[in-house]
Amino acid sequence: MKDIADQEVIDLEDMDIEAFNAFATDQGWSDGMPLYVPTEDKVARFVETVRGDNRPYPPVPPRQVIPTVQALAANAVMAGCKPEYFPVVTAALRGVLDPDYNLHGTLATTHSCAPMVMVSGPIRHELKINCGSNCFGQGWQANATIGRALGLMLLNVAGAKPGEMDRSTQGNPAKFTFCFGENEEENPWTPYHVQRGFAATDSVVTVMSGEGPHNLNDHGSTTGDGLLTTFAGGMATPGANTIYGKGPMFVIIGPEHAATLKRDGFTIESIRQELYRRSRVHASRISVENQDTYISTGHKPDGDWFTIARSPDDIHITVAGGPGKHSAFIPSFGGTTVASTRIAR
Amino acid sequence: MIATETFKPLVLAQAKARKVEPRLIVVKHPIGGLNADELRERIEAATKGLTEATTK
Repeated sequence: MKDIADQEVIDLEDMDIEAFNAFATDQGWSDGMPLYVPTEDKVARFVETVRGDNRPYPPVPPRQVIPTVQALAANAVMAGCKPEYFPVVTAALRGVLDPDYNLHGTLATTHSCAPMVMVSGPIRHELKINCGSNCFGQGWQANATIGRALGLMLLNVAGAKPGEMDRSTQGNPAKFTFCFGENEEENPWTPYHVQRGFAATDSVVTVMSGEGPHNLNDHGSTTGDGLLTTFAGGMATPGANTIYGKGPMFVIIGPEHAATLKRDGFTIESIRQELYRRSRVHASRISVENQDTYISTGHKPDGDWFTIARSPDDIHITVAGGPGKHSAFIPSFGGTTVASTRIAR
Repeated sequence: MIATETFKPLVLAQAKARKVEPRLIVVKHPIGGLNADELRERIEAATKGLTEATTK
């Protein structure tokens, strides 16, 4: 007899949602919040939405199992997704399966990283993905459940069971869900997915194993130069993983900050260059022992300063959020990449 | 393979996923953040375990 985790279809007696949740929790399928029941009918409706995407999935680390579309759909159902969200979730999964994303390392680490999911292109509006006010927060079914579905897949397919395979020291609320849309309409530059070579008409999911958003509050600066001083100061943190592990990071600029930077002539490239140049951590802010750790892992200081990135290319820039004088810095796990995947439809 | 007691379950879970049975030397947790005296105990335990494993 197969272990229940290896069965394609699990026959259960009729049970109400409370009984199902008790059963699912006992099986270790839950992230701690209530789950929807993945009936065969619901799973079939989700599977129908990805019929145009016949590419096989590689083995999913750390467990190294090759997932069926039905197993993935069951997790999206349990997360509370609508069927039309499912192609976004599977595109996000393909992103985290990019070998350079280092899914094994990002799931087993003691670091707090969670998969950041950013959606670009026309599908944002079709699915009502929040790109504006409170885009990292609560209140939108698509944001809440797309991120949650990916998290459940990583739990139930990848095997990232907290305390066992997922060894995060403290975790991070973003492990429940971390999905938002680019605010392309208020981006005065080029949308992120177009920066990555996709067509503006493509719908794209971008994933990065990141910390939660670090707020960059600047109500006082009236120039782009002033804003970049604040951004760089907020990014120059000796506690973020990127200064150890080296890797990508996002600066998600709020629309009002973006408008000021654009007015003063800054481009995405010049912002990257300036943030790389300014967001350095002085040796006096790092213990001598920790400086030795940085240096022993190949991070040579530039005089008395430690850079937080390998080059300006590590700093990814886009616009999201609503009115207000806030932006956000999202450092990554370090040994990972930013993976963008076109949503197959 | 040398692992701390705290991370032994992670090592075993990953080994199971890869269908391997590693020979483990388990030392006290943690290793990071120890001073030289504290680290010496871990090194001695690991050395003892390695010696025993390689002389059997």
